[in-house]
Amino acid sequence: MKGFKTDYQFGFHDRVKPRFKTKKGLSEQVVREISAKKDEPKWMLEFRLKALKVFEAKKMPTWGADLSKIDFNELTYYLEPTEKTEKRWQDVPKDIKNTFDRLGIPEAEKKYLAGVKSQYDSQVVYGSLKKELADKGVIFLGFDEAVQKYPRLVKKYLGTVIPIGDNKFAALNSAVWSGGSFVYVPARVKVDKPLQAYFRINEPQFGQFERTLIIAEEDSSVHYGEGCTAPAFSEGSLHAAVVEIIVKKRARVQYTTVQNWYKNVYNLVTKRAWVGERGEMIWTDANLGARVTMKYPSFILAEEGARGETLSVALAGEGQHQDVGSKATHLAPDTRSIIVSKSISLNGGRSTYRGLVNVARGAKGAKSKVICDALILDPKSRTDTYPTNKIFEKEVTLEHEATVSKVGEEQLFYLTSRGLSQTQAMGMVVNGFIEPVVKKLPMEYAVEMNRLIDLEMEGSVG
Amino acid sequence: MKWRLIDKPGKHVVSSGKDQQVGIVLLVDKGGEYGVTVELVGAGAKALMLGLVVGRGREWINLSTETVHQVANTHAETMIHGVMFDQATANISGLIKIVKRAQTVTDFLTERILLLSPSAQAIAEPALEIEADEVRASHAATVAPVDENQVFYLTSRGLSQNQAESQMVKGFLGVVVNKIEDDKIRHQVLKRIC
Repeated sequence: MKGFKTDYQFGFHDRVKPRFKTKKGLSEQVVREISAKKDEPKWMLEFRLKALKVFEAKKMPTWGADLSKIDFNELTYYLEPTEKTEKRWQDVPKDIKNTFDRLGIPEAEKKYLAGVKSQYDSQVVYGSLKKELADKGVIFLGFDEAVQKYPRLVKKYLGTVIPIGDNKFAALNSAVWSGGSFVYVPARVKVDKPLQAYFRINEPQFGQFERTLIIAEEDSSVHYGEGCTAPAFSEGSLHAAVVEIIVKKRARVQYTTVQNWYKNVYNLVTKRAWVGERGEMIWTDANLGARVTMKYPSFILAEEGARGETLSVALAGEGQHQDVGSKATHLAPDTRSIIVSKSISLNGGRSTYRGLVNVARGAKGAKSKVICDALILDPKSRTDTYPTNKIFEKEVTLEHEATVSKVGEEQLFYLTSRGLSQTQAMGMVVNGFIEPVVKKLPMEYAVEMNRLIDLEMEGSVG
Repeated sequence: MKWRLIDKPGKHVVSSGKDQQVGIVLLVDKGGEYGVTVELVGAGAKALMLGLVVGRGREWINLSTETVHQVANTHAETMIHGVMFDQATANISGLIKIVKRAQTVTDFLTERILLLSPSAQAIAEPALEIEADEVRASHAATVAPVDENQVFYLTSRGLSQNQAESQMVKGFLGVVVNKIEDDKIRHQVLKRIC
């Protein structure tokens, strides 16, 4: 990447060199190497090679955020996780330690997040969870492992929701993917504890090109969570993940993401769910970090009575562009979608809501409601809203609303006259603004979110 | 307030200067490409844009509106009501643009589309681009069929299905028509859409 360093620029480097990494740049050779390294079956290699051709043929998107600084030849596409890496706690920069402390993250988790430990210190929790899940027939594995252990399942569903040619970055992911999760929930099984990506063993917490596939069979339910509110460091500056979800008849899937990549990262993610009869898909999505984020979690409401919901929060600070939104495609009668998006722009940041509601002919009685609210905190910042609503059926109800405003002087005056500082008051107003979304997050995320907002507010008023 | 009527396809630019108040009536009852840009270039400028869109047969109506706030203390409102019959398609996009130096600005954009036939289609794209922070801007868009309950009420009072629907269309467009303060233009519009 031009203009800034590809590698994470802070000084806590690995003491142990990665065991294996591909040469810079992308070629058939590199793709073959990745596949060989993972000892993949032939069909997976073919899938990757096909995707590489599509990636090379596709042009860069001309809409959305500025991606002109990405240089595909300067990137390293595969870096073998170094399981034995033990960075020393002393080497972690002080401001990051402070952030962890103030977010109230437990000691063990802190070390994990900082990359000091290669895995979350919760063997016991994970161990019992693993047994419980296994008893119910739930499969929860790293994607690489799933390809080896359940090739038939993976092959059956891979690329069915997001085909290779969906967009340039989905093609890139298909060619060089590494890491990610595979979740299979059998019929009538309700997984009551959220499955967290960081409970997984043998995987680094984040991959550059994660591939996740979740299959919820009839009448099942599962909640999957990824990311965390603490700043996450990454070795690469381009992240192109693909998440495919299949929600069968009457099943329910909730997918929660809290993204706080370090601010040198391009985060270009394709997430989509296919929802069957009376199934329900919920995306809760918080985007706080990264230099550029382009992410539009979407659902295809394919069968009668399917429901989709997206709740998202974006915070764009200095030098950041959060280009996020959601897409709802209504293909069947009585399908419902709700999209609630809240964004905050401060310190020269830019946040964009970009959405699409598409109601196909025959989707009688479909209902869609989109609400986007933007808060802009200073004159340097910017906010945009680009919703598109395509209606090809008469019997639908579509509503879209958007508002943009700044924090009211009266609100601030009221709070400061009650003894709060300007910063506290601002934090309180902003937390109130995003509350409708935050209350749908799992508790530990919600608590951390509020604290993080307070942190980001500091120095923004004055 | 100075009013003007735009009822022909093509690109139109209207600008509102210092302390000027401009009223624009946009009447779209034939297929084609319509583009209207309203520029608010002087402090205290105000603009009200009222749009009436009626599509019949196989007409394709492409309408894009843009209000650009170039300076501080400018105010605009856009209200578009559309009715699509038969196999007509409406593609209505609206943009509110507020540049960096344009503080203390308000702007509201509403796009409402009524679909009267199962083959009618609508695309609504209300967009906002905002670079200033002392602003209040919002937009809303709805696409829906005629409310069955209201039709039922009217038919139970003795109106035929057609009469009932036609009354409702009149009422729906009437909300916008009634805001036209220029009598001549209002009568002209009423004649064309009824």
